[in-house]
Amino acid sequence: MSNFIKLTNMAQLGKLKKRVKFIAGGTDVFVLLSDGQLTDEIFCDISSLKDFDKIEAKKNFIHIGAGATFSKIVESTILKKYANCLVEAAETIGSPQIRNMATIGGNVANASPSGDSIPPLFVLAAKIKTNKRIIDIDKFFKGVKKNILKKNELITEILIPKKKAFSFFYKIGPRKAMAISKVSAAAAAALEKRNGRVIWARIAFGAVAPTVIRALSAERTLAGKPLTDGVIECARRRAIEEISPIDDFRSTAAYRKEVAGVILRRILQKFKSVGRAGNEIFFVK
Amino acid sequence: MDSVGKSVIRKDAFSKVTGSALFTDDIKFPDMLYAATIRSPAPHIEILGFDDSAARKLKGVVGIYYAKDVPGDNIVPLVFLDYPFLAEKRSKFQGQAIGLVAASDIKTARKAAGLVKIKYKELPSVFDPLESLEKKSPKVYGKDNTFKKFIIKKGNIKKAKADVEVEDIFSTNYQVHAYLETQGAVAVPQEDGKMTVYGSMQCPFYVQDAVVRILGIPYNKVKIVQETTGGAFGGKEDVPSIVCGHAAMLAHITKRPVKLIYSREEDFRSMSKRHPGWVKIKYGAKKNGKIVSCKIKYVLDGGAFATLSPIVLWRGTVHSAGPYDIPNVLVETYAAATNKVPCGAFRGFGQPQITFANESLMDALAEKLGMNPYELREINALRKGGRTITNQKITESIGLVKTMREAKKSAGWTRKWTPPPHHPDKERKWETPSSKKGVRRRGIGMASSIYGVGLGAGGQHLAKSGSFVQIEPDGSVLIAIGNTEMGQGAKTVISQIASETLGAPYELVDLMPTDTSRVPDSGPTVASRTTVMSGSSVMNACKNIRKRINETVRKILKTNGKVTSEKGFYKIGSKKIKYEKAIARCWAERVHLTSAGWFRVEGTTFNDKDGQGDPYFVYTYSTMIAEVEVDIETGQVKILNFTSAHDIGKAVNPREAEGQIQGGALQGIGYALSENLVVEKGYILNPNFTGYTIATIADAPFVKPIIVEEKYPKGPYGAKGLGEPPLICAAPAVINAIYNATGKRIKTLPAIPEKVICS
Amino acid sequence: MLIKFRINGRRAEIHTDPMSRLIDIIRCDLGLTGTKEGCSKGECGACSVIVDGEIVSSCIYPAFRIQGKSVITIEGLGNAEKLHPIQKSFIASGAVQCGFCTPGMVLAAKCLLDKNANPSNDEIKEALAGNLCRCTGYAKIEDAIKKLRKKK
Repeated sequence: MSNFIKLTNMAQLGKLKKRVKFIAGGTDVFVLLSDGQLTDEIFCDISSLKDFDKIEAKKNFIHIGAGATFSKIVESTILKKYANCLVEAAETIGSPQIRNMATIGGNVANASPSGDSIPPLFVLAAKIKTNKRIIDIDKFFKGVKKNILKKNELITEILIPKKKAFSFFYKIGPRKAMAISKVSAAAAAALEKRNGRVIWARIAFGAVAPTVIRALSAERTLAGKPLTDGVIECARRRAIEEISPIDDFRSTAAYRKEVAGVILRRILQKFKSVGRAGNEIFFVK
Repeated sequence: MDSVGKSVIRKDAFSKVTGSALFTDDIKFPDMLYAATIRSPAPHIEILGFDDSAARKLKGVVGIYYAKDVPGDNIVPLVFLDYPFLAEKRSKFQGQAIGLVAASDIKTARKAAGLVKIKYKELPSVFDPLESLEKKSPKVYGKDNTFKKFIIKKGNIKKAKADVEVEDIFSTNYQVHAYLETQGAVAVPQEDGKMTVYGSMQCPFYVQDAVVRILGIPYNKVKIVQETTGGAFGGKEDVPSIVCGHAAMLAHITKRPVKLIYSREEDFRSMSKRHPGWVKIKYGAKKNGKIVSCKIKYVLDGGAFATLSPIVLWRGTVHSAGPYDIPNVLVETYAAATNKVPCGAFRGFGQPQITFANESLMDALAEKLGMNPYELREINALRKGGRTITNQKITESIGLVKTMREAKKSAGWTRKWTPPPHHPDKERKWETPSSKKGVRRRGIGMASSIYGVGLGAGGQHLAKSGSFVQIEPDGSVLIAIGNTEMGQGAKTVISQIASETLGAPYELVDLMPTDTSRVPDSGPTVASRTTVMSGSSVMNACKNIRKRINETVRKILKTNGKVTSEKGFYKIGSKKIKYEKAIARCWAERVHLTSAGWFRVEGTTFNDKDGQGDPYFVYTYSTMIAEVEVDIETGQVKILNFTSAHDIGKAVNPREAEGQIQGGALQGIGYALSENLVVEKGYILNPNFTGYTIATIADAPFVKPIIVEEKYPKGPYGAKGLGEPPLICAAPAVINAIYNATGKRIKTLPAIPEKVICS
Repeated sequence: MLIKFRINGRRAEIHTDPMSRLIDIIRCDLGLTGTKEGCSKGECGACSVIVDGEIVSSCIYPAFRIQGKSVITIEGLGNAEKLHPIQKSFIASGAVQCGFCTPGMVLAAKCLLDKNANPSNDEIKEALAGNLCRCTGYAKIEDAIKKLRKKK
């Protein structure tokens, strides 16, 4: 019999003495169990916490319950509006089966550099709310599969600031579904309505470093500029200098570097055409 | 005809679609134990000892067994006798079976197996087959690491005068079968020391050989029954001998039923695969396109033990130059030993590797000649009266050109083909069309192949097939054959053939599970041989019975004359009697309504000295055309259309034949583009479905199947074989299309985006 | 842990380790072997079952999560007397070869058609993208589902 407790309310968390392994959807944990790992864990079921999967728009933030499955995220009209890149990423995660089971909290806590929900959260300037504090997403990850959560600290919500911005996600994988990213990119930008100039842009890459990373230098080349081919090319060049992908059995460092630049260019071209289309809601006056 | 040639419903569709079909892991017996395998941790080791104390302490562990516990002979009987069931002093690949655990449940068994510590010393290893053939390499097999070699000498290659020559080197990676059901067996000891083994397998008689060997008991005490098998594609040809042998050994020792099911990762690491291949090939041709010479060196990476490598190499050798009439040929082939997982049978059996090379080089030759790749192939295609590279004269059932023409028409080749961008021919300045400029470039490519049906001269001793047919009192028909259903539709096709020959309604005919105690050794279910071999055997049995029924029908109808059958009635002229009534009368009159069937193939030949002879009794011919769109910035390839035409003599069941064509095409496309097993220093780095990516439905293009029927007079109702051809020339069709789209020639498979990207 | 749930429309109760897998409850405790184990990691879809109307991979679905939920396996679809239309269509279209992926594939198709009676070709591909098949090349599986579309 496994060591197992069920969390019915957050107050219980404070009373836990031993370290527990949280489990909501179970997709990551059960794969590790099938490999014979996690033999000495105490499992803590968080799947029944009240409103744990709720997605709600409040005044300044969209609150995504950590227990929201990727299917729920895909279907959320509010997230499609304010966090398009997250919805685009969610559509590509795993399979329908996995999306019906896996939670965004689990994907974030797992802290894989190729976790597809993470680059979107970076560019959306998301905050991770736990039972103890609120953490900026760019401070949340320490290394491959390492996060800064303390013992028995539980992610309860992911907060997405309601900004007026466009955002997109792009992923390169070995096939069209059930694919682990060789490289992924997300970008969010606020554009001036009358001339399509970039007010600010945030760019993040996945699977090209030990954690998801921002391409800060590339972002700086875009700020305040119109999205000409020249500006986009400049951003692309800066971005590929900022990333340090590796060779592994999934792909090569050279390919990842090259293609990271390609997908960034394609996302920026999308901003450009969106700028021409003039979608009312997300332009800043 | 009522049955043959019709797309009747599969015999096994109902049980599979309701989930009631029982696969090996679905069956259980009282008092059953579960087994797990202890495996070698490193590529090449000397085994010094074991520490299994921690494993033995686990509650539920019944026993742990090693080579010394093998009751009979610790050698897997196959082509050569070099592969032990359990490694004793030396283990030659990471994942080789060294020991077995029997426990009360599967979790405990696997946990215990993981706790056994093997004390070992690492030995020098070799991983590259070309390196392995060099004198100084560490020895894995014999004195020269050569499992087998062959030579083909036709005409005189030195005297061949070519106007144009092309030569290149190609290589291919492993391919993993990725059958959805992993390996498994349940061994049940019977009274008197008898053993019955149920399992997922293609070749119950190979398994019977193996169980007899490992237990050291007579054949008449061993019964092998094939369970519903969840895919095989060659991956369950030889290795079930090991799986079933292991289960039987434990059942024999513990005297309890034992179930052994492989985990997916274990299956990836330890079970057979398609051999990686290396080819150096040269074509010489006249200016008019007639190929006058072909020179080939072909090396297969056989892994640590011979298993099927000698025969895989043989088939690859015989088919190596493509489906063309070439007067001067020199082919030298080798199967090399390396310290990696032993490779074996996989749909195509040594042909896909060399076909990738020869069909790619054909396109290079066409380009050098300034010819359309289709034109070059049609000029050189084998036709009636033509001779293969073994100098076999093709006298019948030759539909190769028909497959080319029909594929060409269906795919819109003439309209769609334009030369690749940056064509090297500077004289004829081709204008690059818009479809080949920009980021997404379109191209079309083709490939053709020839495929010898059956085991051929290399497998003559197995070219036999037994069957038993019995008609029951109500007219229902029960058939036993030696070959197996693994999804390809054998049960259905055989039922159709029997139905047609007997005049019995298809709905009344069925097959029993393949059982070695019912029919004699009928060889393996491989080489697309089932329709011809089991089909002919069953036809023979049915003809015997039909003769006797016909006599009774003449008696009943009080007329002489030819008895025909139509829609469930026997007829003589205008008189008729219902099938069931005729059978009832036969029963009443004690007519013998059963018959054994037997069929043998004669006349295949192959001279080892020069590779000349008539190695196969008939050939299936194929042509495939792929239309692709290449994203040159990311190297990703999308298949827009895929056409696959096969001359199979006669489609006994057209819809099931289409299913084979479509399934094989997607496997071949995966071989070309996305299936990449990464093996580093003898360790497989991606032994799972996330790392080794086969196509999902989202990746699958529509495959247009085209059936060509150039009847084979000696085949059942004209049929040849179809199981393997649907995969064989898929990869070069795709790679040629990528070249056509981008001007970039990929010479190593798979053509993953990292190779295709044009940066 | 005592888990109460519904299986194929009937109530079930089981005492089990909360961390055991749904597939083991289905295959071993309930003896329903139609659900298959292909990879043990949620990577192939052979173990797919429907839980509260959603398709999931039972090999990585925790037992504790099934509390109070409704599970449908392939056995809950049709039977010898009356096949489900999806099963009939699979048979008629030649969508079955070795049969190992079939139960999961049929249930994924059911999930799709229950939510969307007239899916586009792309929607069919998306809905079944988590179910691997090595035999058919998927073509006739797609045919089988297309034939069941209810055109408006």
